[in-house]
Amino acid sequence: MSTQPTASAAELADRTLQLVAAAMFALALVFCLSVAEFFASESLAAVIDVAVKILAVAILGLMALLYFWKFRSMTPGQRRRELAEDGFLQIAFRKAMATSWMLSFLVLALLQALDNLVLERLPAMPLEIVIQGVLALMLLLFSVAFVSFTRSDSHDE
Amino acid sequence: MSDNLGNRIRVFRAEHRLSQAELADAIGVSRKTISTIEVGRFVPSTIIALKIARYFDVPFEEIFFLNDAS
Repeated sequence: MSTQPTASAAELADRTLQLVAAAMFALALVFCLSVAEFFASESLAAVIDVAVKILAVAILGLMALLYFWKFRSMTPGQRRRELAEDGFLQIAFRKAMATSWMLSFLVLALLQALDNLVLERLPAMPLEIVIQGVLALMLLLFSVAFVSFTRSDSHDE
Repeated sequence: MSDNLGNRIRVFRAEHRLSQAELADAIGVSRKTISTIEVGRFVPSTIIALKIARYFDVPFEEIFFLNDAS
């Protein structure tokens, strides 16, 4: 049986952030599918509905499993301290949050300004779908920004 | 993130025969943080920079320097 070296608190904090970012991307997919369900035909919408539910349960299950498997060794105080440190991933996470907020704001402001070109041509949507669309936009932009800020250049040893 | 801040972490690591992971463990950051600082992709916080200098027991400016002399 091989013995794995114990990961430091900082490494665990990095993995936590990567896990949170992955969960946010998965959640973005769930919201995208929910919005797609509104526009799809009845038969397709039923399939998407089932897919959304399965995906949501799978995401929650996987995240809970990984969380308890990977991070139970960290005390709550350790977790709080390490996540607040100014490491590379922590800064990238905060930058991705700021970038996604800024880009979402720009997209929404642009849509508002061009309402007669875009919004008026869309079918009337319930508020729930609009909110899901905005959430999907923000989460997708966050995921893209986070991946772009943290992509590996393989300078690791 | 910045081309202006240079560093000699790789040199000091080599002198002390340390891997990135060992240095990261010693100062309480992740290996990714050390590797991105080394290649100049990430500008460390003052605290992390001072921890690195203190670990090698040298003044801060022996490890970090500005590339742009102006």
